[in-house]
Amino acid sequence: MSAFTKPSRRRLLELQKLSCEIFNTTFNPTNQRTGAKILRQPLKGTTIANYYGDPDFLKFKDVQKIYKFQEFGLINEEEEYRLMVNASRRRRGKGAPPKKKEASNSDGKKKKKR
Amino acid sequence: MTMKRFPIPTKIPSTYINGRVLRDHFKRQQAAANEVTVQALKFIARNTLLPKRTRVEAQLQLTSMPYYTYMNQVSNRCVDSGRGKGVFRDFRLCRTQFREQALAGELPGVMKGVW
Amino acid sequence: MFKRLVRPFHHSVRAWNVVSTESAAQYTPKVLTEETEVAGSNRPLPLSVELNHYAPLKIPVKHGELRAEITMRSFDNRNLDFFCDFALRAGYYLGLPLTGPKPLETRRERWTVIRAPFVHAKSKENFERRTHARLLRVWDSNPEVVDIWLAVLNKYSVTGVGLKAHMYIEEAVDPDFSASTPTKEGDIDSTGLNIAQLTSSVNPEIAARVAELLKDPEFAVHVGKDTETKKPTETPATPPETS
Repeated sequence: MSAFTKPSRRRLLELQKLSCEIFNTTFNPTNQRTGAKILRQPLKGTTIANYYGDPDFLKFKDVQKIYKFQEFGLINEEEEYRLMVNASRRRRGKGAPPKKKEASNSDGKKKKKR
Repeated sequence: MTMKRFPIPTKIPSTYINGRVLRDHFKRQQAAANEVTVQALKFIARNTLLPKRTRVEAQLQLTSMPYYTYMNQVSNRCVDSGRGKGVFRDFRLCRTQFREQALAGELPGVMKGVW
Repeated sequence: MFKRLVRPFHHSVRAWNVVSTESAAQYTPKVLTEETEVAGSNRPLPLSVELNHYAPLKIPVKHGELRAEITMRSFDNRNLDFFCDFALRAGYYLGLPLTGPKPLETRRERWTVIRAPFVHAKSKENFERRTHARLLRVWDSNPEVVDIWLAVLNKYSVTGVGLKAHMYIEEAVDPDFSASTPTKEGDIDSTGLNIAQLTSSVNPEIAARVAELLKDPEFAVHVGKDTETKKPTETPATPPETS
């Protein structure tokens, strides 16, 4: 027997087991599926949930509420502009059509029935 | 402020709002809330060392979960216009918004490229 | 008129001692600058202020033991260089042997977008963002002093410059290995499965939820009923020997 004979499989496995114990790794010689990779994955929930920013971020309405009883005269410029455009459209007869009432709906149905 | 159009009341995001944005926001909240449970069930279902009945039970529970708890239901949308296509992950903006804001100098460091 | 002597800042006391003991050596410092009074203040310019006109002074590295690496990043290289300069000067007065700033590779991010919102796909526009980076290294120093230095950098930080610090601390090796073995959390008795053994980097939240689920009556019903498979063991069975 030469000094370079291959060690037996059992010995190699023992070695592997010992090394796993020392370095705190998993001893899994048959490569069984343990699902460990699912346990290892980092949780990404918080980053995914915060994609659209903080929902409690202060809006104009909230600021207005805080200074409700003080004479600051807060003006939401975007909203004012929108209302101004709406009013001018209505004056030119280009505004939104009036909402259909319940009565007109029922009328339409009656016509169909006839 | 919460909205009631979804089975679980959710806060309204502070960015551009759109029906599709609201839906995606809701899915994101639910996916995040159920992430630990989904991963735990997945682990039980994929672990071959566990008894077969347990694994099947876990798989059944996984499939019976509502669709909005899945991570793959989430899709990135433009934060400023709600567009679902051509969104840059780095800026969370669609190509049009990206170009407009970059030209206005609102994106730090982004300049007209010359090469 | 004032005459300023250039003397080593840090080792000034030691230098004087050397001179006093060795009577043969004469203390003859070179005179580099001739200072005039600052108008209106009746005083010369302080030396620390005058030093700002020159490159920052550095304390030589003696032992070469790396203590910290600070990476600064910015889209604008002017602010970045200014802040590096500030960091070097602050470090000098705290007695930190610093090297740098070593310019790291500039990261270029490029985007090409269509100019119009609809069709005209052939007309495009290019955008680019360059991220400049500098590396500072701290050698042979007390981690507490490095902390103080980092706090100073944090306090006087410049807009648009990001700072990332890697600290290296040496610790004695614990010879008692039994004390350093990790605690086995998430032990599941009913199945004989130990999650801590499956992988060394277990997410504790998920492991706790798994343990909770397996104790749930819906799952507990199935435990032990499975006749087809063997009862799971802690480690899978070894394959048959071949040699």
